[in-house]
Amino acid sequence: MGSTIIMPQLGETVAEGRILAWFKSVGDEIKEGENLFEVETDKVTIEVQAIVSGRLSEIRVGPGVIAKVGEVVAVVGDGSAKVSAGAGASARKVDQWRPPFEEVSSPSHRFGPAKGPNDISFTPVARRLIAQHGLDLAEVAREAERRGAKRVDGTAVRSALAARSSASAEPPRTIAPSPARAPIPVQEGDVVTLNAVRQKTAERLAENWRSIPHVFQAIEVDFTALNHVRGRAKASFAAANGFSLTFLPFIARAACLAISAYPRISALFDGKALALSRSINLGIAVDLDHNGLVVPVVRDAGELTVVGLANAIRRQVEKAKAGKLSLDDLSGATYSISNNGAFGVSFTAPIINAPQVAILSTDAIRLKPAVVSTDEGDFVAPRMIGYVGQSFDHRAFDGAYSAAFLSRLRQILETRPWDEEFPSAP
Amino acid sequence: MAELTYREAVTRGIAQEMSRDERVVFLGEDVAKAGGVFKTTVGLYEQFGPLRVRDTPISEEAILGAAIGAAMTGLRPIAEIMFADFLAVCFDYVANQMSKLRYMSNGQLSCPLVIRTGNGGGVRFGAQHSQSIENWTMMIPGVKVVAPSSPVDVIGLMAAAVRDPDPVILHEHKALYAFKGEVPDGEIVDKLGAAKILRAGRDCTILALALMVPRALEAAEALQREHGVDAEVIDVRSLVPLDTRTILGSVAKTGRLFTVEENPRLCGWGAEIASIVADEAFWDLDGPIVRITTPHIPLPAADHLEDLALPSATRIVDKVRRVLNG
Repeated sequence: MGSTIIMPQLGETVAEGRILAWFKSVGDEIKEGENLFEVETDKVTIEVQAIVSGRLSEIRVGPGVIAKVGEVVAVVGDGSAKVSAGAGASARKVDQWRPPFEEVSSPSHRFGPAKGPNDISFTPVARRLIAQHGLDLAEVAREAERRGAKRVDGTAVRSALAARSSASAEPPRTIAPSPARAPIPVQEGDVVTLNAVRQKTAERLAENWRSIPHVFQAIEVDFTALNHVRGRAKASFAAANGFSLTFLPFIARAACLAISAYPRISALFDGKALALSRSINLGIAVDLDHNGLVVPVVRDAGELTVVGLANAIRRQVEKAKAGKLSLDDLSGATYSISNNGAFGVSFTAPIINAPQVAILSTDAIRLKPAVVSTDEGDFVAPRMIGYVGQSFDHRAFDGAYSAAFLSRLRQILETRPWDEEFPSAP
Repeated sequence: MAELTYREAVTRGIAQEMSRDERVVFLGEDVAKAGGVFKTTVGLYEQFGPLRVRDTPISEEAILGAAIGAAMTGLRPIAEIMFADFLAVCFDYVANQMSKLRYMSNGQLSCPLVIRTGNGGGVRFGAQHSQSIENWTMMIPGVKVVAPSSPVDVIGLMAAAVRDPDPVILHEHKALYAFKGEVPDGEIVDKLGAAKILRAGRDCTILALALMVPRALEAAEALQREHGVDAEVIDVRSLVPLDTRTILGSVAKTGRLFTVEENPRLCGWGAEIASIVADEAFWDLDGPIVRITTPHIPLPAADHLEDLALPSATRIVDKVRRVLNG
């Protein structure tokens, strides 16, 4: 007597699955929890694990064949019972020829990136094990970095797994064949499954939101003088660069200048120490037409003029929209700017991108009645007014530091002789 | 059990099959009365007589032409091409004729022919008599290709080749002829398409063929002794059919693959295996696949230059150690 293995229920709407590969052959001893076969449905590819131990005595549904949910795909002898005489005879022939047109490829699983944070690379095995066992890739990368390793390999992941399993209790036993990853059942029209980029973003945002004590401050800035300069420079800028001059590069430039007075704003924080960055690498949040958010980096932003920043930001945004950002483009930011001005919102309280300690937000800048003080007295006048806001990590510094930075930023935006940034402008 | 040299095993393998089946005949240059230029067929002429063991003119085309005709008409010939390099002289027979007969005649004809040939370097024969050309033969649809590394495998694979209904090229290695090994008594029959795990290991898989097998084994022992690396060594033995099950299974275990190839690097047999492993076992790989080969050069005859060109145990140890530590 033996146990039968059935095609498991792989999702609420899934009726059948195609077996891609058996990981065991007839006659092999299998252990509970071992991967038994890989099955593909119209939604996912998953590995199915054994729920009993024993000798695999028969495979009824071979690779490439579709089986209905509940159909018996294999038989396992119970180990104590005699393996039937037929089992030996049906064992797979080793010298079996593969049909000439049958080409086999590794399933193209999305097992996560080959490169992790800080240029740590992951071998294919490491990527598979991390994905299959639900390890935190960033944590594994940090551990590798602590060891001084540039690469995470299978050995590193297996030891991380061993550490985890010795730390946690034995997982609960399952009673039905358990898909290694449970798919989300999707009914067309009412559920939006996040794509891989969005899922990653979601994870990271949630982690940052949970772990960082955010404080948000905003300051009202009068952009009128700056806007005059922008107006005068606009035409020649557009002619020379082929795109229009927005407020963003001015704000980025002002932020860099203000950071030189308040260097802790552009720093990386590990919970104990602030690593002040010698160069300012500005992360620019880019919305991918509501299909995700990426934050490409403008390196050494402190060295660039308004025109230089305008071009550098433009380049990164275009690369982002074209999906051509490299890992280098996405790593190493020391401070970030989120710009939502285009939609007319007054201010945004953004989430900090750890290990950075602060993020600036710029929003709508528009004409508003404002009080202007002159020698002749105070007047109400139409002025270009906008809020510049900043979320900061309260563990890294206090409200006064951030407020002083914002105050300095406003002063620069309002009073800097911006004309000097455009030497050729009339 | 007896200890035989690789060269004596060739004689015993042929004799075993000739005694079993009188359709088996043997022909080649100086193979009969002289017993072969490498002394691999001494005594066969005396044992089986001039009808079944024949000397031929110095013409590879004549040898294969006669052998293919004999095979098509009911015999089971074994033909010797003295130096594997000379397969180039009769390549039309190899690539276009014997390998395509069954297909072109819709199965009306078959060609149960074994070509045995002295392959490989290490014996100072120069660029035209030392090449390792197993990759030339591996690429031809319609031919099976084996290359034994030990006396017992010579006999077993010879028997399997003779009993196969289609043409098989058996690469003997000239530098292995003097190697000795234990051979059981009685009939020995192996099968085509089966690799052998000669040394089990956990840290990496080293694939080797023919002369590279003893070097890989020596390297594996040194790796264990001096560097704590536990290498699995697999003798590929059969290039066509290729035992991908054993190879992929080993890679699944170790995650690291090295090939040790005597053929020149460009289009060597290891390149094909690297491609298969990358295709089918990508998610088992724990690092790049590394090929250790002879460079893509005509093989020099000078002692030290030839030694430098062919992969040595030292080179294997050095490469594996550096790659695994890097």
